[in-house]
Amino acid sequence: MLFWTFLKVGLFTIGGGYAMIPLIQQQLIERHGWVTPEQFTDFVGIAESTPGPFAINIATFSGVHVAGQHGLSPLLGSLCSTGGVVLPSLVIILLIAGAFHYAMRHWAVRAALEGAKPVVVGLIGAAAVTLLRHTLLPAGEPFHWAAAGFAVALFALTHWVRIGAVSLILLGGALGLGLRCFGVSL
Amino acid sequence: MGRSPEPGQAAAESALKEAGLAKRLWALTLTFGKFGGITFGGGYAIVALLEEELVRRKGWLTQDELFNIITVGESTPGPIAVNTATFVGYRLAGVLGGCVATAALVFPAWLVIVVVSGFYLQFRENAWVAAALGGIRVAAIVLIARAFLRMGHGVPRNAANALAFALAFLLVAVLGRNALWVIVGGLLYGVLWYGVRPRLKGGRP
Repeated sequence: MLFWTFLKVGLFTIGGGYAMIPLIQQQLIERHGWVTPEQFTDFVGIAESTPGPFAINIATFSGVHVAGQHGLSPLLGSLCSTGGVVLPSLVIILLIAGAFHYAMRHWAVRAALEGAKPVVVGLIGAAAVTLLRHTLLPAGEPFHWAAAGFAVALFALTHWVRIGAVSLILLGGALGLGLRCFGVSL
Repeated sequence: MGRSPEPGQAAAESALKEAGLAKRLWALTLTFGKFGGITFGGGYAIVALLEEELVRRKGWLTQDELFNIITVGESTPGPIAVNTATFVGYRLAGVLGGCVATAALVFPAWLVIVVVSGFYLQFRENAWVAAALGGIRVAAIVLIARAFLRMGHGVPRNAANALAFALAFLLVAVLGRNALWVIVGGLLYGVLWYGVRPRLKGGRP
């Protein structure tokens, strides 16, 4: 049941994690009544504050929760929900990746992908701006000066010092903890 | 044997492609397991990591291939991070590689949630967790901004591309439209502008 529910979620959401919130919400709350709306808000909060793709986190958490309600093993429940959400894209991408080499021989495919390039850059820019807006202007709160200063400092640092992506993330976390010691929250 | 790897060079790529299957699968597991364990905040954080680690450092992918992977990932079902992991895994080690890379990406996320779910309210309200996450979120934004600048350099500069970029940015960032339709629009633009137009003008490109 969990597997089928999340298989549907994995199959019908295109365009990343946040696109699946409405569908998961509808399936879990309205259709099956497994989760209350308040619990769902908690799910989203947790999924945002743990590592990994958002969709995976929310599926895993729902699986653990629903399995617990029905007296099943949380491991089994989360394997079903997480497996369900991953499987459609795994199969579809393997098929596409297999055919890609042949498809690239056609001029229309090459042209289409060439045209998608500036759009992809636009999407990446939009993702950065949207995240920045959520961080600097949280709903109902004043402008977050500390986070803005931190962002500028970190960006300047990466400009002068060669620092890898993984180190940058770890450094961000460490500095967040360090600033908290001085009473600055990001 | 025992030779130190040259950082970020094509040598690394050919070395990996000639390596045995087990070695390639292990490299995929380590790389995507790491990505799964440290990415926060949506699909584009992993795109930024792919750009830095796989394109710049390891040379497993070219920037053109990354563009293609993002385009495919955005226009097919499922989370974009999973889509990219599957695609890269397949490129390096076939169907098995695709499965291994995907599993490695998902595993840390799955493990953390299973562990945390027992005491998630405490976890959520912990001030230290929130402080670390605040820092990580800002770092992720910086990372995405860097990827944005670098990938912007990889696109040919002309008026049509500038217009396509600006439209895509405005539709998603300001008007909040679904990225899928924006990508579909980009693909259509490509077919017409880079495919049909040169053919109408005559002469084979």
